[in-house]
Amino acid sequence: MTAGAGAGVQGSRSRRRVGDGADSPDGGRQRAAKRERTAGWGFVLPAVMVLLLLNTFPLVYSLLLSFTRVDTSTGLQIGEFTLGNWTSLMHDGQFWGSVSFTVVFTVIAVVVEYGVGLCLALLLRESLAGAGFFRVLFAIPMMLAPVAIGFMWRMLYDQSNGPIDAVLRGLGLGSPGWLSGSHLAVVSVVIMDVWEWTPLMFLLLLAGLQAIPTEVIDAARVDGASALQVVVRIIVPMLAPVSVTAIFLRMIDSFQVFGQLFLLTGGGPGTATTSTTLFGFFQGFQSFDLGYGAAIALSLLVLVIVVSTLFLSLSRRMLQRVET
Amino acid sequence: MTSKARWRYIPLILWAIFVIFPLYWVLITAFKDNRSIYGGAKFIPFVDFKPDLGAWASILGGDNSILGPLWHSLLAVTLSTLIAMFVGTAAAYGLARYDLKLAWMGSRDISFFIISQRMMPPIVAVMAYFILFRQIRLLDTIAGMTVVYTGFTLPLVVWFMQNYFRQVPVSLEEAARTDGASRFMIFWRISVPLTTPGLIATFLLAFSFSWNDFLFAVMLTQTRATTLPIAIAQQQGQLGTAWWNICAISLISMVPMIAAAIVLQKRLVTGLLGGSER
Repeated sequence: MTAGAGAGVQGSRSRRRVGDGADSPDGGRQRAAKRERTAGWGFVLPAVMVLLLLNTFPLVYSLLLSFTRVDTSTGLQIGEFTLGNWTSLMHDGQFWGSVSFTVVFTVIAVVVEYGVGLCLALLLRESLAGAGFFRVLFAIPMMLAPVAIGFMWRMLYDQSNGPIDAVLRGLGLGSPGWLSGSHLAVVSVVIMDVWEWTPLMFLLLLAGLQAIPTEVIDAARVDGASALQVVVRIIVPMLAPVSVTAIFLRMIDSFQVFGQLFLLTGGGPGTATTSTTLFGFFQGFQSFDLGYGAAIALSLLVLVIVVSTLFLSLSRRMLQRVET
Repeated sequence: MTSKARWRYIPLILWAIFVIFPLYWVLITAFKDNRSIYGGAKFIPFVDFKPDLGAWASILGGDNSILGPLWHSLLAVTLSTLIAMFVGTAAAYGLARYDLKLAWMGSRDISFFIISQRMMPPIVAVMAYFILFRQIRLLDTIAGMTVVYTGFTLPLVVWFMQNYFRQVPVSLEEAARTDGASRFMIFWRISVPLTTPGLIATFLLAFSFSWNDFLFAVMLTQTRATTLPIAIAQQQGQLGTAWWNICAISLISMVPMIAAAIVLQKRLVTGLLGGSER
């Protein structure tokens, strides 16, 4: 239960390699090891080249873009060097608004998804008639395209023709206006995200739960621990590595939220649900200011790197404490 | 067990309703016409409204035919996933089995470089792609989308496959090696077949990521290479939103994903967690 933290980046410690243990004289072994490395590069090099070309190069290009004024009037000519994009970005209230929305949205959504996912996984841990049905059903939402999900929730939240408000009216309640108030719109967007992504948390945590040996739990039960104590004292700590992976995965994706929002709220009302990706899209592709859009995109990258580094180092410390 | 377990159905059923209802709504809306959508919520087909096949006729060869986008999606996503699988599986194998060194970097650093690409928000790459593709005429082409999706899913493939290769014992490979098989043969004939479940799971996950993508497609395609998610978004036009079409296309785009779910079942999760559960 040690790997998997750090999003599975590091593997098991005791992995063996082909060619280990070949008993030859020391000089021959060194030469053999060198040949092994060259052979290894044959496998890895294509992927590294593809990524340098398709990810690193665009990244550097975007960095350059963010320091130039892109002139759209002359057919997207790249203009001269300027710091203008970055200085105006630092003073752009809309940009900071989008950052704070993205952070708030991510924190609330991931916490709720983790909580609900854990509860559902705990409920389905022991065998239960129909467990297979629930497992498959609970996984379905994450398979839908974000675009479809955005439209779907727009229909559901619709004030005149949507089912939710129809039911509320039937109960004699008024419509809260799901997407019209700026605070409620954030809640509505989070509900959509919880619907879409709790499945992933649920699946990961369920797999983690099933890997916990039942003897450990049975022993605690025999010692007189209550069900709640077992969950808090044994299951949750033992689930920590899986939890870190799951939360990390969701966090990164949630920072990049775009399609669902674009079609559900379009970033509105006003700019209440404009995520940073959405803001970058508006600036880069609708106002056609690609230099500014690139600066926005890169600040999102910086944000993701800072937050995930913080999260991973914090969780590593936490995991060490759990293990000792 | 019996009486104690029964209460658990209450939260499970409540969540099931929360999951099912939106899907149900999409399903019935795909069979509604203009009249059944506007003028209040209609819940039950045949009782509240008369099912209508207009949407299906319209998207399957009618005015809003999605056959083009469906073809573009299938082509670009399948091709890119295959390329990413081939290149990524080889890399994952190399990283899991060999101690690589490049200046100060070891296997772990290279592996981290590849996997960390997942952290880069697509919006960063898409701005650059837009300008670069314009210059080399890849904008709005299936080839262009294939290239983009390959880069998009490759880190994921490497990450997953690395975990699978680490679970495969090396003893078989060593046996083949003493028999004089070449390195590539060992990889291709022995190691890859041993990870078949992992290969399937990884393929389907990578496929679904590109299949559902909206950001790249909305910025890099216009007409000749539009994908299914774009076809969905386009149903919202100046003359109003064709909700019935949106729902029908959404259902169609779910088909490969549902098929994936049936094949995947538990395997996906094992891939995500790698060796951590053992």
